[in-house]
Parts: sequence; structure tokens; C-alpha cells
Amino acid sequence: MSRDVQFKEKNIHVAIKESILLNFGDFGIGCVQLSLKVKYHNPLTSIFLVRVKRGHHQMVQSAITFIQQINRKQTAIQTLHIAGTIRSCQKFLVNYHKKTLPAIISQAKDDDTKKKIQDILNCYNVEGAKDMKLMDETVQDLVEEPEQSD
Amino acid sequence: MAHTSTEQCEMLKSKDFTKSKEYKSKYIYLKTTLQLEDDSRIIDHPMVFQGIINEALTSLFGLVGSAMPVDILKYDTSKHIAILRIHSCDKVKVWSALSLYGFHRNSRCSFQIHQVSGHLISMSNSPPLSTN
Repeated sequence: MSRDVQFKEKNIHVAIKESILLNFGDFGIGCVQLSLKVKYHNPLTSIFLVRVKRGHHQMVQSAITFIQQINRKQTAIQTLHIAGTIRSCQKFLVNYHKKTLPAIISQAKDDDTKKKIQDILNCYNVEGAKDMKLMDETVQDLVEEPEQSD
Repeated sequence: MAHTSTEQCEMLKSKDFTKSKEYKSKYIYLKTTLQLEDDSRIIDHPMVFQGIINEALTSLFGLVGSAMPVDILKYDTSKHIAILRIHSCDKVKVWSALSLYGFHRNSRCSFQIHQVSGHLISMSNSPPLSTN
């Protein structure tokens, strides 16, 4: 996914609904329409959180995998984690960022960004979702920085 | 695992032979007719019937629903009665999709299901008295 494209939560919601209608028909829409909601969306890290009623999550997961375009732009969506609460999703995200940030170090162009990433990895060794917001904001800053340096 | 004869006797005694095992058949057979509001459009070819079944499945259950295999074993062109074969795991979905299909190309229609059975031989009975 290119970072120039800006999706809103509405666009993702519409795309998921269309995919369910195409792949699972009226029955699928009927199961899921009331409970389906895009709870959280980070356009810079391209991560979003979808809520759905228990029991139909597998249907929605497969419908999301079949999404080819959002807002007439070609996309491919990968499911990172399925959980019962937003809190456990955020816990997963903290660990996910911990794993992916070292990969970004190798791609970083300046020594300053490398130092920042290493600082984050040292600070956020704390388990739990307390620092989730802060971590997310710092990841956002990091993602914005390489663009500015270009 | 090898059992001694006494162990085998005990195992047989503990089993309950009063309840018979239910063997579920792999396929379910449906005897159906498609009734259209305007009788001028009569379905001549079984492939047209297959297309309508596919439309019914797609509208209610999407692409996943249309992937359920429905075979037309026999199509009586004079009486417009078809014998369909479906997997027993798809029974509920296919039957509900056929029942809930109400409009075909701007005219009302209804699938009338005369008979359902797990065995094809039970379809070889006398035809329904009247479809009115």
C-alpha cells in the first residue's frame, strides 16, 4: 500500500460490506451488518481494527481477504490478529511493532532515525497496553520522517 | 491393541446394542417445480433451470453459495418437474435459497418442493395430484 493514498474508515467499511455482499450474499450481510464497524484506523501504518459479532468473524475475515480495491485503488489486505477485545489487539500491536521496527532500522537512511528506533525499543520493553498510544505516535513520526528527508 | 477373550467379552457387554446407528446418506434428493407468474415463459431446457437455481443461490448466499454443487438428475419437460441432488451438508442452505427466490426477471416465481428424501428410489412414486 502506498502512503500517498488516504483511506477513511468509511471507505474501508463500504469495501468490506461490498465484499461480503459479493461473496456471501444477502445472508452474509444480514448476519453482520449491524455489528460490523471499523473501530480504529491508522492511515500511516495502514493498520485498521474491525469489530464483528462473535461467530461470524471467520466469514468477515475471508471476505476481507477477497477485497481487491478500496475507493477504486488496488489493495491487498492481510489479517494480522484476531482477538476478543480491543485491549488484546493493542497488546498484539505493541509486540508487532517491536518485531517490525528492527527491520526498519536496516532500511533507515539517517543515523538519527536509527537512534530513535533503538531508543523506542529500549523504552517500550514494558508489557501491556499502557504505552500503546505513545508507541503508535512515535511510529507515526518515524514513518513520516523518511518522507520528509526525501 | 490386542485384547484377551475375557476383555473382549467385557467390552461387548458394556456396549449398548438397543440403539441402532444412524447412517446419514451423503446426498439429499429434491423433487421440485418452478412456477412462474406468467405461464407464457415455460422452461424447456434443464440448463435454463440450472441457471435459475444458480441465480437463487447467488442472490442469497453469494459466490460461496453458488459454489455448492446442485445436479439436475432428471427434468420432465412436459410436467416441469425436476429431481435435484445436493450434498446433505448443503441441504439447509440450498432448500432455503430455493424457497426464498421470489422474482425472476421482473416476474414472480416460486420453487415448489414436492418431495425430499435421502434415497433416490423414494422419488419413483406417483406424481403430485395438482400444482394449484
